[in-house]
Amino acid sequence: MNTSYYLGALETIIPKLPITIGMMMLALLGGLIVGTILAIIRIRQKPISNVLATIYISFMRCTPTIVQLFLVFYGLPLFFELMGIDINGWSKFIFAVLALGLHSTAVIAEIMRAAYLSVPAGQFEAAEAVGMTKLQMLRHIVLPQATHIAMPNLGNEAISLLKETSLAFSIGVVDIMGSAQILVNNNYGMNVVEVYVVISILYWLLSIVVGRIVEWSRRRSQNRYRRMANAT
Amino acid sequence: MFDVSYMIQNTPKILEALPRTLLIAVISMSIGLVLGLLLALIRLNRVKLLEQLATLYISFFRGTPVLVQMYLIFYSLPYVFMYLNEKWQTTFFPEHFSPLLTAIIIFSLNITAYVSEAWYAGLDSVEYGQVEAGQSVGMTWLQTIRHIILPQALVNALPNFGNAFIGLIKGTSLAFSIQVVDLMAVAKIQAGDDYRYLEMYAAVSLIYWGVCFLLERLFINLEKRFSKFKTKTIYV
Repeated sequence: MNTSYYLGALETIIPKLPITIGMMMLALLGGLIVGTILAIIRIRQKPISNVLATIYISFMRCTPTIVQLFLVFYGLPLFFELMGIDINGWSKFIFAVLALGLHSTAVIAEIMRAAYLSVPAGQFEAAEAVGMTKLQMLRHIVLPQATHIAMPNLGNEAISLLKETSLAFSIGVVDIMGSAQILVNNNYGMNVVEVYVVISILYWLLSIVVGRIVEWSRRRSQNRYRRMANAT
Repeated sequence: MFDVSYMIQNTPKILEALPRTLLIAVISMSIGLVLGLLLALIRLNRVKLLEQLATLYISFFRGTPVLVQMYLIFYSLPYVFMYLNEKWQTTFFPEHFSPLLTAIIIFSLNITAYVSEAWYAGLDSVEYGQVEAGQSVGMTWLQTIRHIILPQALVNALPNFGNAFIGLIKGTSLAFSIQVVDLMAVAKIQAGDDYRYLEMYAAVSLIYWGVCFLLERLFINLEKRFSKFKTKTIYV
């Protein structure tokens, strides 16, 4: 084990960092948008859409991410073929983002539902009392508070999403894990441990950074709420 | 196209590997519960040096992907054996460690970190007044732990234990990467033989879904049964 080897490995792996972070951010963004919609569907409890959303969430939360990744990778082209669209040319990155996004959608839907339900009833009444429409109430009163309540859990999901991006190489995405695998294969079994030491420390640092960012933004939104509470 | 009859035909083959998946999960969880409690106690009692090491351990295993941990440990085990053999003349050989055993070691180490966090939060939620109350009626230290603290901590930690266990079951799907023939591996091999990837992955996802669904029910029932231990405020 020598230092120059560690540095060499780092040099090969670091340039792939944007792919890992990009996958995580896009999946998280998609999950936040669709997940919030799903959460609202489940809260409204309209008969058919509620059942469908519940089944979707249960499936996505109960099956391993790697299985979902394979299902999307092999299933989506078939699905699109039925509609006469050829997506075989799509990059694997898109498949990975879609699979991870579908997964995080389900997790975030549950987080947002719990957060929505914990917004005090008085807030809804107050919004109605000043004559807000349903959409205004959601946009200005409920969602900001629900997001604030959901922040710690959303942070956990962001970190677990980051870790799950390490599975994307199994469908051929060359992210930091993928480039580590290639490095290992090119070395014919030499210095394998060094590569995995480098990659694990990289993931560890990334997790810590994501955790810090979440904590920072949680504090910020908390301060904003305190100011709002003091103003009234 | 999607061949439903192929999927139904080959599902029993995958199901044969279910006991192995469950074995890995149950043994790892049992080890994790014990080691996790130990780590939580170290952190709660603020044992010097050990506390920092425990925090570092938990941070590492929660902050890195399971897959990376698997490869890291799988490939460094031979070096650990070599070191041990030289230092203490032990006779460990990698051959003695089947992939199954290696997987159990890895998942135990991983789940310990998650379980320890659950234990920590559970134990932390028991008020100190409870300990004092136990002592004031003349209980020994062990009796206080056994009859007062553990039941309350356990019921507080139970939902998190449930989540950790379900996460562990899902995590075992990566064991195929170190040559363990679990649910996922059988599905993968079968899928590769007949180029029927979608069918086999659909089958294996349904099996995981079923297992996870049953476990969720089980944990909800357990929570209900043990809810009598929940901390109640009694007004007199």
